[in-house]
Amino acid sequence: MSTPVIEKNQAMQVFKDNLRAAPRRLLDATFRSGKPNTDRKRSTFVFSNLFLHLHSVRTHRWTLKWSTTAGLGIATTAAFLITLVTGVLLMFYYKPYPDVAYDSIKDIHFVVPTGRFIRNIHRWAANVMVVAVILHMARVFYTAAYRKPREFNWLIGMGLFVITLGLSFTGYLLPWDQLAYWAITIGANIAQSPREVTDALGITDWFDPGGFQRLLLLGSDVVGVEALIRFYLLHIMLLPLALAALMGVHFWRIRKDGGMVRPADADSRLEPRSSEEIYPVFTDAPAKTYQLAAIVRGKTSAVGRGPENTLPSMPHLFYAELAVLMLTTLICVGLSLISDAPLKELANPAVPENPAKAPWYFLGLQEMVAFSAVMGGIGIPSLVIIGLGLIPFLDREEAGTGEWFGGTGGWPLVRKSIFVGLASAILIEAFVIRFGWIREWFPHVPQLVITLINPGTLLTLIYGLYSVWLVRRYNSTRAGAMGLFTVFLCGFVVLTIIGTYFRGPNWVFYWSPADWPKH
Amino acid sequence: MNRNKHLLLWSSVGVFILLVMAAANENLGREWRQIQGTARSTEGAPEGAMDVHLRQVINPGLNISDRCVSCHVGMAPGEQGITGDRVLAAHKAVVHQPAEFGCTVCHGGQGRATDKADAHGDVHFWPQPMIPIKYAYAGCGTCHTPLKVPNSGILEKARGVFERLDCLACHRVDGRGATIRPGGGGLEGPDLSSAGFKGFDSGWYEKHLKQSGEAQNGPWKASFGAISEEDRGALTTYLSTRVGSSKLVEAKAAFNSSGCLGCHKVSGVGGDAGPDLSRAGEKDPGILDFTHVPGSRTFALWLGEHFRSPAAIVPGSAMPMMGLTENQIDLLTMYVLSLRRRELPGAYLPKDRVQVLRFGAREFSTDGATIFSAICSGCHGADGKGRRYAGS
Amino acid sequence: MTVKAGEPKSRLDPEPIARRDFLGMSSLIAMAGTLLFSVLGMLRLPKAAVLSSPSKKFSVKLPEALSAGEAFVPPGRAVALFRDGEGVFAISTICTHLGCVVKPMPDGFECPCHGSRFGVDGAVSRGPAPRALDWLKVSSKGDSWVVDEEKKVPPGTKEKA
Repeated sequence: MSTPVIEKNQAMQVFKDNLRAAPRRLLDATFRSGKPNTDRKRSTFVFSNLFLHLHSVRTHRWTLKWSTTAGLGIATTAAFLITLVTGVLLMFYYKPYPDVAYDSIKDIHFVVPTGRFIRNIHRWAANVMVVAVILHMARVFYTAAYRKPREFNWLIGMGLFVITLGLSFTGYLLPWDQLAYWAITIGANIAQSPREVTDALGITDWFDPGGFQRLLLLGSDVVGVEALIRFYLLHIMLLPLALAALMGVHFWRIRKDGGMVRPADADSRLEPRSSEEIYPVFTDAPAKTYQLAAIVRGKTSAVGRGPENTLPSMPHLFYAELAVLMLTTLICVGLSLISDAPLKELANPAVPENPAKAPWYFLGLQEMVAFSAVMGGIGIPSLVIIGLGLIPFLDREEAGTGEWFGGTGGWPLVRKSIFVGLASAILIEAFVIRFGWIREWFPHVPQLVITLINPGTLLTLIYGLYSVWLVRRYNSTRAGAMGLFTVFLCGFVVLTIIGTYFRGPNWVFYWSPADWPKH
Repeated sequence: MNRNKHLLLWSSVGVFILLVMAAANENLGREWRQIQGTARSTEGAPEGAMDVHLRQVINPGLNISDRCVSCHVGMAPGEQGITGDRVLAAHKAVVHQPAEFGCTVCHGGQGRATDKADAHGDVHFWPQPMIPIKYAYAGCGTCHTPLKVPNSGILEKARGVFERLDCLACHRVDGRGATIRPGGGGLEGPDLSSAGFKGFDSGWYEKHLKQSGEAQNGPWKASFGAISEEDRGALTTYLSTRVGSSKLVEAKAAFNSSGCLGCHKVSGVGGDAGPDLSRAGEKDPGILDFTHVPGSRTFALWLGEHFRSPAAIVPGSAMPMMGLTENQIDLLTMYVLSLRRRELPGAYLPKDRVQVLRFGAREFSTDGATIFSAICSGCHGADGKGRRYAGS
Repeated sequence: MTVKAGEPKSRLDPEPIARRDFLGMSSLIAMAGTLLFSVLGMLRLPKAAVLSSPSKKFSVKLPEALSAGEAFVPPGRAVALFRDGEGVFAISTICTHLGCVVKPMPDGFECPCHGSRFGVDGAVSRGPAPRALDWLKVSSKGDSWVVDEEKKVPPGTKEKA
């Protein structure tokens, strides 16, 4: 160790040189591998960076095809990041206290510089996130990407889906307007709806899980200041933290499970590389083989050439990710300029909003809730969640993994299922709207009968039987799963559209809001 | 990779353009900026005043943040206003200083808003739009309730007496009168516009008489003489109703002449057949049916049409067609608009409201004629000979 | 086969818990138990011992001219009071479906949220409401009536003045 000796009158010169070199040295200190201009440095660039090292250093060319993932996972993440940034900004002004909360939203809307815009973006990004997460789930399902070894990540993904909806729902109360107040009143009472069963059995007095859930959510027996604080806490802290943590696990598992799913014959189906994609690989080839050092698996060591058909993640993957990030931002910002986030009248506990509608993605649920609270709000959703969770453990087939609509049946089956899903949902709805349901024919029928037999459970039953029939017909679990997923997706779409566009005051069917009666 | 680079490039450019648009809209496009810009360049604008920024009146006691003064900048605290301009003029002299009481307490509307439509409240989801300027004095009803108001006939008669006796020669009432200004002593009686609210000396007549008797010449001698007891009663009635908003008193007198209280309640007095009207003026136009109401969707127009033909506006309404004149409809509209309330801290609670809320005072004059016309005349007719409505 | 005292045991014999393991196990169990207990304590926090909502028992004066079948809703309360020849009774106006406030109509009650309808006695006549509206306990106190929103009574229970 030797300290460079500095001549006396050189000190000033050295100081100046250091000062001049400071920016470059700062860069060097940050990215220690230097400019990522060789494959090795590109690899180092990725794995020596805390935020980038969730990516593998090389990405398969199949993964980078737009049709593989459509960037939906990244879009969801991007939407989350946008809500995170805008949400923190909104917290500067938002005051979680009844009435005051409403005034603070008015202030954000009218006098906070960029406040209206930021709130619009927050609202639109939340919607985009819900859409993206649903589409992402559908993509993973239809490409059979949930199969071994990705079962666990499918479950994590479902957790993320539920938390996303939870974040949306809790954010709904915060403006403290009529829309918020009554949507949350209904939501909290859905939590209480197990009483429908316990009441029918006459055991509510000593076993009341519904009442407990509602009390836990609201902190009181009405939607008041406690409920607002609880929803605020959930919205800004507990759920985002849970989401971020699970997202970390989700991404990490993608790598551990071997990256994006791709068909077994992906390599042979890819076009030959274009010249611009060919990079010099391992220019200064390592002296040792990695396999001998037990670093990589494989029969032969790969020395002097890169693994087939992969490209360095830096920059190929990152351009793709940044592109999706900015595209998502573009969508959110564009929508924010077109339409303002809604804010209705100040919450009034004495006058129910009529119709009181939850956010659009819950209107399918609300449509079912209008038949039976416990079945539509808890029973059927739980069934769907359990069913989704079981899919990777029931479908152990291998054919078609990584293909769109891969597996037995394929696109023709999905097309048929879309028809079945839409038709049965529309027919049942049309029947109920036209003829009513059991209560209208026999007013004194016991509630338990309606809880068990209602349009929602009937539709679920039809879907379930259809799926069982598919399993037998195609002799394949994948066929059944694909049919079931498709019909439920269609049912969700139909119910959501009816709930959003065709339900008016008193939840009566109207062809258009123009026909709504005035009070 | 180039596809992704293109996507990134054009998305980023797109976001940038949208952000620039949003920034332009926010920093240049807002109405209040343009209005304040005009105000600065208008001739006669005070030098150095009216720089362009958001203004507001804040009163935590009344829970108001009124940003109306961002456009009506002449009424902002400390500004002088530009005479003659509808938007930029200073507020006319009123008892309740806008700088303290803000705007929305009297006028309604949405104080926190900074866009015209939102601020005036003619938007969805703002239940308290501005009271039309024609009925502006209905806003007094937010806090006040004029007491001792008789029916229209008695009020008209009292006004007639006041004018016949030429009290306006020396006194100013509601901006009129006090025309005699002798050059020497400068004799002018006090302004009586708020005499009914502030209270007045009940011994005024004796004092006037004494002063008149002592005077050798001049206005006292020339213009004041003995007044009959009946006329003095009418004058007392007239003075009691001078509470600073004669139009609202006139409207209330019309209400007290129409027998409405036979079916409707106001502040606990009246019948049960119709809805309680104690807060009827707060009705949200957003929930009203305007299909049979021509013109713009304001509550005032709805009310007028409703008075003309109740059942046509509210299907199934049991209220008969009252056969009111247009003037009566106008006055009743004004009165119903004034039936509103606001949470007020004790310090701001006016004494007329306190008397009704805490001491059980009646909201209207309790002479027999007024009680009959306010309550009974709806069914029994103004003359007590009964009444038949069209179609009943 | 007999085993002499002090003879080393066979490898096939079950191994007794070593003292070290016992200590390890008990320390882990102690920790887990303590944490579990503290979590139980924390779980009690979200439910306050007294709710912040106003008293569920209130007294009210009925208007003189309340005719039979006509509902009187005290301001700020979700209760409709009725008076007929048999006495006074109170029906909760909270929909049994999802807690919206139902509107008294001449022929019963109507819920704005999902279209449930109830008869004049609160029985469900249509819609998703799982059960009839609750009848609440009413008791006479001087010239006013005390309604207890927490005490349900069987439908048809009317209180004589």
